[in-house]
Amino acid sequence: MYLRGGFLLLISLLSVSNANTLQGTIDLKRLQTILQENVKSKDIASLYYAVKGLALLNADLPNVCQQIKDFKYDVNNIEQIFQLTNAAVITGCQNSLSPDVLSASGAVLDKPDATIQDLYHAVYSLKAIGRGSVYDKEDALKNLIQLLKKDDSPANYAYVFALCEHMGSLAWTATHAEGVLLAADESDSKALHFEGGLPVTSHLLSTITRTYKNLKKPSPLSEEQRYKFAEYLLSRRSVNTAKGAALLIEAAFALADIEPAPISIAIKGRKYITSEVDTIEFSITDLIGRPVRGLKPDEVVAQSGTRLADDVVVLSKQPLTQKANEATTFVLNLSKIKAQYGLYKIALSAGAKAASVNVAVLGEIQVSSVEVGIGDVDGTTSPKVTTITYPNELKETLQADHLQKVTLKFNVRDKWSKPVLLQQAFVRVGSTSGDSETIFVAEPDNTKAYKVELNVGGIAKHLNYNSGSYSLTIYLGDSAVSNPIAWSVGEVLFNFGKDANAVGAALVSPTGPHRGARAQIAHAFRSPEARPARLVSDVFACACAAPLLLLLLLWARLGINFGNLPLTPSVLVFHLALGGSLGLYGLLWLQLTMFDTMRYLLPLAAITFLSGHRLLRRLVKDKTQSR
Amino acid sequence: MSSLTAVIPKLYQEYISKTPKKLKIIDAYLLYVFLTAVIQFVYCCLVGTFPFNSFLSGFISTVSSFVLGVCLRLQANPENKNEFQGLSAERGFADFIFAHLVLHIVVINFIG
Repeated sequence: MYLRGGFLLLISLLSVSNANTLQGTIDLKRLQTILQENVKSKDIASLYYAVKGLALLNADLPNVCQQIKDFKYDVNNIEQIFQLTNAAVITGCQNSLSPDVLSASGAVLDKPDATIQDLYHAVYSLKAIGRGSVYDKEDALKNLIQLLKKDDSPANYAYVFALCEHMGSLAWTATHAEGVLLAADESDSKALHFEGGLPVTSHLLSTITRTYKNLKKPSPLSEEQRYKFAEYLLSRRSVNTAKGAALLIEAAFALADIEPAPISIAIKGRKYITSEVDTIEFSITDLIGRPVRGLKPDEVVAQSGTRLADDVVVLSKQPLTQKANEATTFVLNLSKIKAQYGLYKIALSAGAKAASVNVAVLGEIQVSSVEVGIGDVDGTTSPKVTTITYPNELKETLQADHLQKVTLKFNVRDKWSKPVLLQQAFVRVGSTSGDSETIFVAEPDNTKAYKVELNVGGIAKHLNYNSGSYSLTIYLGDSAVSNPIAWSVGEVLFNFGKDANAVGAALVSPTGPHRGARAQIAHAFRSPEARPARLVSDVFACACAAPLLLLLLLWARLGINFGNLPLTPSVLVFHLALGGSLGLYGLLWLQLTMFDTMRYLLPLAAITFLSGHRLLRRLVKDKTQSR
Repeated sequence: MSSLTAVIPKLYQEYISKTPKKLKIIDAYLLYVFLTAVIQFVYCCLVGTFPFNSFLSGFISTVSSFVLGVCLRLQANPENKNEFQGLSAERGFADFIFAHLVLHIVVINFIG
């Protein structure tokens, strides 16, 4: 046995360094409120758990004897009888019970097929009314072991352990408790609970702890198991029924009474310091918010503090001071690190336990001025720079077109005018009329000066190519900055050039395949150039006709005559047909199509050819005859 | 220079006296077509080519007519008789008419 105890001690020593501390406590006050609300319940179970929880908390118990007397219950429901009798015992109202609860409990014990749960309820009902000795120790335990073989669930073990407690078979519990504890389910590798949830877990933990206490033995729960069960209870601390509250209180008290109890190290209140308030308060308690037993105030030490950004150690071995009148509150003074803001990790130790917490040191930032420069994209001309001081705005609206770029330059300094880097530095370009906006990240250079270049042609696509007035806003923020800045710098008129709205309209059109008829494309003829004045046209029309007059004149002078014209029908036909053809050309010019023209022209041409041939042959014949 | 002033009246006299009457008629026609082309060209230089297809068809019409006229003159010239054995002046005139009909349907189509 000594060997075993030594082994357990070794395990618990090893786990000291590994086990985490808890980061919260169970709020008993809240649970007490829930219980007090349920005392007047018409439900037997709620009343039972309410008075049970209040009794555990040593709170004032109301007088519920009349309620217990008036309850309507089913004599065959042994659980209800158990709850009724036990509620009566807790509140001292045994006299209000009617005698039939006794016979009902006795009937269950005599039943051959009673389950372990029924037996437990029956025995504890009898115990409540002072008849517990009915249950025989030797035979009963054998019977229970037989029943356990059928169903060895943790719930049944809990009932058997409780019955053993009643019968005084504590040794049996001691030999089986560790095995049952090993059967607990683990969730997320940090919490332990039994199959059946909070009722079974609570019942087992309280029964086992009570049994070992009575045996004056150290608890069978290892340190790790204690912390993991405590984590489970913490995860259930938001219960809001009387049953949940009572079970949680019972289990939490059981864990908190084990030596050494799991402790909780948590920040109380603020998790940050500023230049004005430079202390952080920690509350170091057990699971239910009581001061940790055996913890000396000088054992609470901040072992180290490191800045998360660059892992620089900023403090070591700094003791915490216990706050007067509050045994659970310890104060850490961080005035040494308040100058440099950021996130810090602080490793605390309380006795043998250690925990690390993240603390933010909030600083103030300031930005004095921003330089807004507008210059050509190709950098041929030096940009025109306007300097604006915080928190003013631009007096006039700046203008920039798609061949230019807008540059914003600014420095961010801390309270001591030292340039600092931020997690977030943005410039927002937002339309003053619409809701289009785009946000650019400001990048710091080597000298920690922030700069944003807005290439007007390049940002057009983010703003739907809508030229117009846009506001520039600088946003500066950091998780460790107490005064984030949103500074509206002013307005700039962006002109995105000639592709502005045409492309913008195309972007707005719905995406996806186009189905259905497309809009008809109307062919656009080249727009006519300016015609000359009517007078000029007329003059030239006459000028073109003038040579015809000259021709007729010349021919007249040459003595042209039609004397050689033979008077035959073919002459007339030929000239008419030739004139007709030329007239047809005129019609083609004015209104006919080529196809119509060809249809009319073919017979005309045939007539012209035949008559012309006939005429010319005759002329030739005349000529040869005259020779 | 004095020879040039002497040559031109001589040339004119020769033309008046030696050229057949039919050729003079054709020459008058050629002069007419040539002058029309020149006036169109002057218009184009002064005002502009718009509409270009109209100007082009008018100008091509005159140039082609001039070429066809020259061809007719060549065939009708008695001095070229040996060149066109078996082809009478009337045949040349028929070709002239036919070519004009084809030319002008194209011109009208192009004028717009």
